Amino acid sequence: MKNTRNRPGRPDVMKVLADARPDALDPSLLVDPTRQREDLARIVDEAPDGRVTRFLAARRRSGFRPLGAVALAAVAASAVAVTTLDWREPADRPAAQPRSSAATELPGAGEDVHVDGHLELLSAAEQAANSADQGTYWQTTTRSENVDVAGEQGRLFAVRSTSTSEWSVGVRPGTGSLMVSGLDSLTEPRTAADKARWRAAGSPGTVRVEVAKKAGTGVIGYPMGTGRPMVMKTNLNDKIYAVGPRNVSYKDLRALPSTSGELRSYLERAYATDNGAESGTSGRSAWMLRQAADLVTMPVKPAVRAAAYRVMADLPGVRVTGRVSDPLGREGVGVDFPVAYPTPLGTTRERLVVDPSTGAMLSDQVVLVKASARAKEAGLDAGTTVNYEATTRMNWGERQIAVPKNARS
Amino acid sequence: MRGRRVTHAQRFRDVYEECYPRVLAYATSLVGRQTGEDITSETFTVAWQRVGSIPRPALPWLLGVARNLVRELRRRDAHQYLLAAEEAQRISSGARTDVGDIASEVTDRHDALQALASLPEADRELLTLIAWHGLGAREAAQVLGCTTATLTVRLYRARRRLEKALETASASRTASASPVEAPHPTRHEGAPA
Repeated sequence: MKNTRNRPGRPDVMKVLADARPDALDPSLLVDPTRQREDLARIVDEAPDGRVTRFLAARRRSGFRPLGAVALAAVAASAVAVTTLDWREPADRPAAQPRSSAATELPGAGEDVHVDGHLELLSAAEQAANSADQGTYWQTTTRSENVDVAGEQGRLFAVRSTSTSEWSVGVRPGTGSLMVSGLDSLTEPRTAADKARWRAAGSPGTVRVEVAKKAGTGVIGYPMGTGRPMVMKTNLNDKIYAVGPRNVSYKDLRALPSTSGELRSYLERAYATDNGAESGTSGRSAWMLRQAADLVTMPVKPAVRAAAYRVMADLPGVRVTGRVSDPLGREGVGVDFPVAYPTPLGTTRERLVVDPSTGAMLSDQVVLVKASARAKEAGLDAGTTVNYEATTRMNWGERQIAVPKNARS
Repeated sequence: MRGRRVTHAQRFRDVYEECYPRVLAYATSLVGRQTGEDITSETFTVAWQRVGSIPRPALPWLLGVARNLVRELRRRDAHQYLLAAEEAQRISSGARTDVGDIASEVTDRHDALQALASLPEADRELLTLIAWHGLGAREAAQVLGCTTATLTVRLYRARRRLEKALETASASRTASASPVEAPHPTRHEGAPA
């Protein structure tokens, strides 16, 4: 804005004022970098938008999940037939790989095994399954459940919320990505005993649940009964997924490195740019595991999927357990996260279950390691799965999924 | 959830890195350093919750959010607000411990701050948004929730009043033999309204 009233030799009054700004208001002098950094970490630790999302994100301590309770996608339906067990990708295995000694050990012996056992399977699948590798919509259906404790002290009861989600990611130019979550959504007392307590509390339509928040705990209202599905668009122009802090297009996904060494470097670089990522060796392992497990469920090349499993297998602190059942009763290999997180229900640990015969990621669950007094009172003991997302379908489709008429957007 | 959805996190981090200092400076000018940090934190929490729809440029919108949060604080906790606003006044009036310093640059600054402090709150808010927080007329209008045309008129008048006040401040100093003192915070004016 020009000052037409300036007299000659006299500075613009706005300039005089600008020069007079107290140093205490100088942005560059004001900032406390520690506080700035801590605030950022705290803020993004909560997923934006949506109550359930926020809640789950807090539970899982996942960094950046714009939306929670959705598609636990699984491994490519293309990664199927197991043809040989001894196929190896020679160039890819580091010479001094301490775990490779276990590489030929077959999973399912009832002992701890390493993921390497089925890496061969994946590599074989990679050889066998190139045909069904591409389509128009990458579609997954997942079933999820979340358990919580509600009610008043001394009369606590557990509630469980279940729902189905469908996610259809368009990978061709001009196709969009849609996610429909909360299908068949139902919140109800977890067991008959819980139901009795809920009734004794007057069968409230909304129960109060304590959840982890960015600072301490908070209480949210949880409507009982059925809920409406929600639909949302999940792509940002041609970006269809996130890998760490980066959004990626289908082209980016197809260009991912297909050897475990290169893929690990790619993820390590992404980790380095992720300000909100967990720190420390096990935090880093957890981050890498999460990203690799996510990759496995995206429409990447079969070789990339195989490489992602190898990356997972070599992460320090990641424990692989043979023969476990996923929450839907399907058998697989358990992959435990290297860190445990405190929640209002107690200490929890996240576990993935992988089907070694197909290379499919079956489920992602949160298990109570040590139950809090609150959880115990409501009948939740150590070993209870308090949250899971299990994939029931994953394949390519040629048409976009239908959106239910009653869906919220 | 596996197969992670597209994230707005990078955009948020960019906005955060770029705008945090200026949001903090703005909030500090309204409610002082300590409360200002809390307001800044809350501002970015709101931004994160709406990460998909943060306007470009983000700063005017962020300052608008911060301003609303300050007004909310004022309604919710008048006592805390008053204490915070008093600290902000002390900061904005350039109150300093080394009052004896009368170098010419410092006296100019004191004149300007004294002149500013004598203006109505609405003028002060508008003038500082532009001169201290670096906004253009259009951006300032966005923060204050008025049209650019309205803002231009208000700014024109505010500048004239500032010029007059500056002349008065400068004249009273030269007329006085004693060193300049920090201007007193004007208590009669309230919050950004």
